Amino acid sequence: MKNKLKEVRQLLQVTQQQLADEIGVSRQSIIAIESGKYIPSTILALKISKYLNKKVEDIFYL
Amino acid sequence: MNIFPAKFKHLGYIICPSGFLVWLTAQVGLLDNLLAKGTSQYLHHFQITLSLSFLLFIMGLFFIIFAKEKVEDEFIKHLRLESFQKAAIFQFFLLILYILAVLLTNWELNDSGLELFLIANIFTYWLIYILSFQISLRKSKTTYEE
Repeated sequence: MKNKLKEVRQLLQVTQQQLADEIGVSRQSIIAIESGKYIPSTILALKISKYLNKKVEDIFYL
Repeated sequence: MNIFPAKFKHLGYIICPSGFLVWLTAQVGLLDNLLAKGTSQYLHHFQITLSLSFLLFIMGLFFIIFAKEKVEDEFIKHLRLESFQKAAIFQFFLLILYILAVLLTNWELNDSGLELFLIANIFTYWLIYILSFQISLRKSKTTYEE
């Protein structure tokens, strides 16, 4: 699974730390997701998209 | 499953090497004067020192391994699982190497040697786990900056 998290986050001017704090994960998790090293669970993907006010499929895709 | 709060990790990093150092120095006889070698109490003191220091070492390892990170999320759990797997593979590799060494070099296989190897093998598993987990954690912090 690939993602556009970095682009979306930067477009909305949200830092990795802000996103991590808001959804209750570590900054390392955001780094790992953005670099494609870690595929988040459905719950985490939903939390990210909810916070960024986007559909899950707008951020994550196959 | 991590059962201790994050601060236990720091405690572990203090008591684990301390316990090991005391155990090692007692084993090589550097604490003989302190334990009053030559007196009737020596053996008793020696055994208590060995037992307590080894207990400290094991407790320290236990705290390091089972203390939570500051934010214990699913990615950290994923790193833990990967590290457990790496440690298990390394442990199997060591076992195979040991058996091959015994077979190929005609080592005399005695009970105490095997016992010592198995004890070392158990601790190797946990030490490799700690090392692998800490390396993965540090890599994930530094490989990609905003």
